[in-house]
Amino acid sequence: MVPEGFVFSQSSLQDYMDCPRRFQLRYLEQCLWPAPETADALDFERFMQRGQAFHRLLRQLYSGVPREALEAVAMADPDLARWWLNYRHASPQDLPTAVQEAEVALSVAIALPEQGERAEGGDGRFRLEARYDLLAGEPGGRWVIVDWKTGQHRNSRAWLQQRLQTRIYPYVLVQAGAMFNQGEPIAPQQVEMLYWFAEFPAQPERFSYSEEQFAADAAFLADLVYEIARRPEEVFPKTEQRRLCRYCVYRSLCWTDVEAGLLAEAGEVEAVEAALEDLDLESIAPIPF
Amino acid sequence: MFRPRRGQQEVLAYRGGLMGVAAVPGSGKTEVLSALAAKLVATSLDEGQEVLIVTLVNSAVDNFTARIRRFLREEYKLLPGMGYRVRTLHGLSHDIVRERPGLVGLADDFAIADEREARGILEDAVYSWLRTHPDLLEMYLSTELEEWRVRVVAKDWWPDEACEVANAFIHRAKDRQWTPEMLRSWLLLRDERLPLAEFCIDVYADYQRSLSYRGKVDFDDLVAYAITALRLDKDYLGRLQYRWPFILEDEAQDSSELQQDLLALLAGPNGRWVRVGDPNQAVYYTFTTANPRLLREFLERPEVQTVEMLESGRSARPIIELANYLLDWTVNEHPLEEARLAFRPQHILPTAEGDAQPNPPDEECRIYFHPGRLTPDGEIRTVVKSLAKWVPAHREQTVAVLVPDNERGFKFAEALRQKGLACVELLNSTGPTRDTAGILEAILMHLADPDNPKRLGPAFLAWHWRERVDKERYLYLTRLSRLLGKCMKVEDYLWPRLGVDWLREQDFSEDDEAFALLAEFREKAQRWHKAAGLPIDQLILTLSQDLFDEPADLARAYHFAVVLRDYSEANPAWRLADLAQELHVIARNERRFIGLSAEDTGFDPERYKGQVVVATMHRAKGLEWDRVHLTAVNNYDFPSGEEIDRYKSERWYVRGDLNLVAEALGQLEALRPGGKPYVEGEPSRKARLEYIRERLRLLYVGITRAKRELIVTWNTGKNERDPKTPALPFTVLRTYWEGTASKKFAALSPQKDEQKEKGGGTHGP
Amino acid sequence: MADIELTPEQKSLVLMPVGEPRTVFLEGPAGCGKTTVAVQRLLYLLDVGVRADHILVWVPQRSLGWPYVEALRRPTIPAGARVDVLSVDGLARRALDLFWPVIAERAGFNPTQEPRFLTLETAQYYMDQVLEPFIREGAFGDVTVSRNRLLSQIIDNLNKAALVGFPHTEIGARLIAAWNGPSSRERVYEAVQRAANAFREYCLQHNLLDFSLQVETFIRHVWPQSECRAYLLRRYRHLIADNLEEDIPVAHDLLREWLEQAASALLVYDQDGGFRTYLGADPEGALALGERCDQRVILDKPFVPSPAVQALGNGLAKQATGKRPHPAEPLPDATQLEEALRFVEGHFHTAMLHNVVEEVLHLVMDEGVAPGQIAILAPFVDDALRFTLMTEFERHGVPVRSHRPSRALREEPAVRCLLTLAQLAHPQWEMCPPRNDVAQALVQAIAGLDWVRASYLTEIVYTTKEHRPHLYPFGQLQPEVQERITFSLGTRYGDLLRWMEAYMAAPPLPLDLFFSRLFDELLAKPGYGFHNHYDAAAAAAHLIESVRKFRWALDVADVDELGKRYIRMVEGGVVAAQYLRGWRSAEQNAVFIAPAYTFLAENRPVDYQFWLNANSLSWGRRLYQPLTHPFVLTRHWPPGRRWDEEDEFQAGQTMLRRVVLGLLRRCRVRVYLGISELNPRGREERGPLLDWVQRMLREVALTPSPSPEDRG
Repeated sequence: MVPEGFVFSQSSLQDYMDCPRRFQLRYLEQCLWPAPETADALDFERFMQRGQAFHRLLRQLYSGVPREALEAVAMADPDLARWWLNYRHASPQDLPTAVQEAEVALSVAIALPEQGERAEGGDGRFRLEARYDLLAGEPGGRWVIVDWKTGQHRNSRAWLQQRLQTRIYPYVLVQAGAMFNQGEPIAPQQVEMLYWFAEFPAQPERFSYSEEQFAADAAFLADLVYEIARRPEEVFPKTEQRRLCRYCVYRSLCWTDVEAGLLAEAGEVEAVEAALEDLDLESIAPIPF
Repeated sequence: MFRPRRGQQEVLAYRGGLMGVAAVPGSGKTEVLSALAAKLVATSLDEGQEVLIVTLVNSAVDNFTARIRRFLREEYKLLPGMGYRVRTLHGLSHDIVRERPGLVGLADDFAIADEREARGILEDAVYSWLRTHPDLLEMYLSTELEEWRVRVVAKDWWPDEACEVANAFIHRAKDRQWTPEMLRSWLLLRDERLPLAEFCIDVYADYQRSLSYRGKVDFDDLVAYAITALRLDKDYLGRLQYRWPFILEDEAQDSSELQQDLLALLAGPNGRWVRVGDPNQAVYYTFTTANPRLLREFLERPEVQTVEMLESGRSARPIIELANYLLDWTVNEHPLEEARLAFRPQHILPTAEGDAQPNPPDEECRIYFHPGRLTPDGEIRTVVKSLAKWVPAHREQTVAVLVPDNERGFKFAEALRQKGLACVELLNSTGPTRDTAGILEAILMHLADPDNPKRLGPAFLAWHWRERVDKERYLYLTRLSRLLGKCMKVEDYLWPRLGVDWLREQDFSEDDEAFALLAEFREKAQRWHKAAGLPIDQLILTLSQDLFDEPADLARAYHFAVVLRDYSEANPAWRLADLAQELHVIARNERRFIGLSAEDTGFDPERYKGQVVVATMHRAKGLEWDRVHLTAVNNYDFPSGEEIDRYKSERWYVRGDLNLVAEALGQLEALRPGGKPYVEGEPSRKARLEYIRERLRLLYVGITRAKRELIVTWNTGKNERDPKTPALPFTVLRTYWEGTASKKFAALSPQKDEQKEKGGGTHGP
Repeated sequence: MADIELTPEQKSLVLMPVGEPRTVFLEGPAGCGKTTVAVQRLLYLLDVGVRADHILVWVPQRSLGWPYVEALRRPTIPAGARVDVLSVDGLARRALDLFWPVIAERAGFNPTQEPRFLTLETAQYYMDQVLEPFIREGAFGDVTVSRNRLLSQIIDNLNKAALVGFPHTEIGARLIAAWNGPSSRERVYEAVQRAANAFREYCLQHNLLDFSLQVETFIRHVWPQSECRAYLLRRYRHLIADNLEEDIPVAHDLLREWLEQAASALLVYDQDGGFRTYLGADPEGALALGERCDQRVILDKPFVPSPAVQALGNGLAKQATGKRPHPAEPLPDATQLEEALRFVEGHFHTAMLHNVVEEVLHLVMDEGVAPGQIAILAPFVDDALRFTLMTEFERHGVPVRSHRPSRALREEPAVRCLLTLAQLAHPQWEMCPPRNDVAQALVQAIAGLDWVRASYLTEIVYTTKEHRPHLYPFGQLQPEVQERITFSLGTRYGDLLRWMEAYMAAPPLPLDLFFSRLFDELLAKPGYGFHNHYDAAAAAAHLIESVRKFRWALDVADVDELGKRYIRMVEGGVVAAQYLRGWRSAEQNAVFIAPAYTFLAENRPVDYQFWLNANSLSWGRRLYQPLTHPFVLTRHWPPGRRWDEEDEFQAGQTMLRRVVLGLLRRCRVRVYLGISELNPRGREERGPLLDWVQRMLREVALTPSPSPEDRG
């Protein structure tokens, strides 16, 4: 059962798409299963930390911390230095400058399809949240959602295209972005999604958005959430793609013979891609004394 | 209705100021003190005030509480439970310190190191000191010893003795409130060497350091801290002085300087403080800090109103006569001048006509001194034989065998049981506390060593602890437990698998119950095994749910759980077996405080009619029996300062009959600036005298336990090459009894059969 | 926002136009609907279009922010950004994260390296290292306190300095000036000061930020920096600050400045609160903020307690010396007492607990009271108490939940298992776990292995050679031994051993990764103890998290060294490897067992309360910590004044009054006092709470009962 007040995100829904069981274990049961994400866990950890450090740098930059101060930090680490220089020499072009918000989260109540009996079950009581690395826009004009990618690979357009992130981020912005747009709703055609790759700075990937896509996404997301909320099984079905399981910590719960995969072989596996999304200052425990 | 006697009336009339009460054995001091307490509670307290009653041991606490409750309810129609506080010295100190631990540098959850832990810390300190200072022993070693004996002494005897020395030294120093730093600075001022003091001060410092890093204090510290707290903070003292406007102190003859200081502080300059005691029953070991001189001095002070409670209805007149004679002889005729100070000259008087508790009639009284020379075993045989005849004929009477120490007590108990006599041990570590601890221990030990068949039987018996009272049943269960001891593969019994089940292989064809009992135990054991990995407190609580229903048992188990949890936190390396062994220590330690231990309910001889109580003379204090056997009255246990007397504290390997403990204390006393110079040997001599006096008082206590009959025996001691003789007082009393006194009571009717059995000469013509 | 009925008074507060008045100070006793107003006000702000990310809900600790977090999850909340609900340390943490490169150098750190935030555990670890020489020289000789307490009290002193806002170099002098005892203690306080200095020095050199440095760096270096301050003021223009009385002085300072700039602010203050004074809460400082506000509003009509419970509160609060209740407040009469106060007694503590359980069962089974409407409270709730009550309730099928802030990992069998296996898999550490631990580890690790076979197996296969642990393979054992263990269990043991041997053949991993791999590759598989065992896995996950944080904070290159140190630290009890349990997820309709302060911090009223150990001295008394002082290390303690008996007594009375009123204002129907003649340790105890009750009872007995019309 999905509890009332549950907040969906692009990563939790993507998890569900990839493997309903994983979604159930991770978000509904909040099952802690301390297996390593990849076989080379230290490499993975280093990869994560670098990624976080880079995200932090850009957050600081867009929050007004002077560039020189950040430069000194970036240069202390070779990977960071490379990404930083890449950013300096080939940062995303033509971003609107009127509004630039780093690390902003928007959320919206999720509307269910009308055929649902939402009144009686109370299923409608969820929210959908998107957390943006950078939101750059101009009231009345263009709105660009920027996502920093620090992976070794450059994701293909096709792969990105079918990621829920590419659908949910613009959708939530259209639904919830009015506050940045002088109180007026942002129209789908004003929105653009931009992936910028730290290792491939010259080859960002852009997706434009439209009324049709927005309508399709709205219906799709409502159906999806409805499906999840109404799932009858006690144990949700597992994914068919065993390759994904190699990068899923729950592998030993589901299988006896799946071993952790190597980071370098992960390719476009969501577990590895989405991990950065989990960085959340709220999750840091307060210090009792 | 309580009808007070003359002396008691004087006590009850108390209004304020200092009062000292000298009471003889059996004069009813607990009763009168309780009555006074209840009266004060009812008539003389303001808001937030209490009457404070301080006593020596926990059993007395319970006794007092019960009596005061009764008085309040019956005489004053008041709600019991409020307006007074009964405490031992340690309990009181704990109250005081716990309220303001910060004052004396303690954390809120400071813990008390029990005697065993304190001993362990002390031993560590002593051993490590001895390793670097082999010369101390050489200084005191007897010169006549062969080389090999010296080695044996150094290895087997010396470390223990050194601990005794340091232990006594530290106790005394704490009683004086002298810190290691103070002692060290005094030591620097002196020219002569004080080797024992040097040693003890080092150990003392080390000991204190170790305690403090464990966040602990020992029992002595507790009292000292209480005094320090009160001295440091006048306001706190003032608040407590307000709270306790009356202090009633029982057993004041065993008060230490520290206790006296503490109570004097609490009483304040205009204190209302009543001290009750019998200076002639001060028997709390020579080398504790108790000091009978203190009460005697208090009684002499001009501002103290002194009351004498001399009437006693406990013993028959001949026994009173005998006790008074011992006192008179000692005071006037003891060959050793210094021994004459053993007693305060006060005679026990029989009660007056019409007293609520008249003395037993003279004609029921019998006194017998067995003159024969008995070996220790012979003494036991003689006494047991006599009891085997007496007990069946006197089912409605009480009887005790009083012994000098535990070891002797166990032997008597064993012999009595072999003769088929029911027997109660009033020795150390008896009663239900040991049982709760013992039951848990047996099961914990099984859990600690689960594949050991030897642990299985005791655990099984522990599980059936309730059935212990039924002898036959218990024998049956013991047989089953022995069977379990033969189960070499414990897993085949407790965790059978693959068709291998030890239990099914046994032949119980004639005993269905056995199978059921063992199957039931298996089920329990499996449950316990699954809990074996839990933290100790949860494990014990889980076990106790299965084992106990009685509130007292559950409370004890809970207490063990809490304390063991502390232990395991303080000693993360400890495992089940270590913790299980601590159960006894905790059970023992509990006695310092009211509440959970068996002793706390007090020992009532009347409950054991028709059984034989075996008690040490010390534990017998305050109790009475119709018949009392006083044993081992020889010149070792009761020396008189004669040439042939030997003293426990003077070791054979130490030169010049030195008593090292006494010498160390002598050096300690000499340290204080302006103290008397130390002369070697002098403290040992004084210690002998002190010991002789104390043993005289102990004998007095022993005699006055008897209501109707008193039988005294002696033995030749363990060492056949150095046989002991009857103690001098034995001979003196016997002569007196068989000569003068029996004539005085000649009118009494003789009991011929008894006389015959004993080979003549009780009393009578 | 229609789902809650508000009084007209509340409604007018909620619906005030934004910014008119600009700043409002709302005060009153607990249970009068202040937080309700503030939550509704937040929703109102969102409704009228205030940007969510411009609002800051400011609370002293996270649990007090819960009503806001819950409200913000509703689907009816307009779409938009997120409202931040933060405490001052949370704010500090965010600001530091953001502005580190700007302020690090000025604050004495290395700006090019990331800050390493210390947890309590890692702070204690470092403090332990710093203290080692002090302990060796006997610097704290005068004071009896265990090493762990020593660590935590010095850390606490640093925290107090940071929260109160005085230089940490004044700790010693302040303690000395207030010390009312032998002068030897002064040396100890000086040592405390030196240790605090040394620790601070060490942290600065290594870019370590313990709690005190986080707050202090924020207050002294981030906030004064104009661009940082401008950022924060621009970001959070609307403030809603709740439970100000529980907040710390530097938070009040910050708010005072913030108020000047804010577009709107609602400050909420609970009279008679201030339960966290031992954590630095400053109710007086909070009250002073009221003078800075444009409007002060008082809400003092309680919703929660029945008149009888209110009267009981008055009757008890009156017993605090020097405090008188509001004259209009009625005292209880005998009937009301009967209604609002009951006693549950027992000679022994355990018997009292038993009777409490019986009474709760009676309420639930016979009277139909919802379990969630019952709270069982005590000054302290130790494991034995918690375990006893919880097992009893579970046995009777009554849902129950308990909240303790933390639980030591090393008590979890699964964790012990992992720690033991780690020692076995790293013989080079030369740590040989006791036999019992090895057997227990095998029981935990191998499914189906019983305690007897595990012990027997351990006896046979486990040896130590030259301080190194060693396990023999199953195959090498005598056939009859193998038979006793059984072949199937032996195979599992064999596989475990093979896994460890393979691991040992390669260079060692950091301890957390070792655990993680052991778990993934073996223990979580069928036939092993963690398979489908969610609780064990969760415990393991917390352990791994703890080790990982330790590794990050330590930055030790040698993985062997790291593992050894961690295990020693846990075994030595320097760090208990404590973790916070997810206590929100627990069922809410359950009997709640908690320390009284925790219940107050949850701020969730119930119908029935049981106050256990009512005769305990701990009711309304602070924890004595000889090396620190919660009242002296505040702003209100006059410099140089000595802390004396009267202060102690008054402080105790004030605290007891606060707790009693706080609890009763969160109690609707009745309080049961659990009284036992003997406490858990078998001792008699008579604390101030019972004293108050007794005095009140006497007083009520002496007062003639008023006629009904008098009561009004």
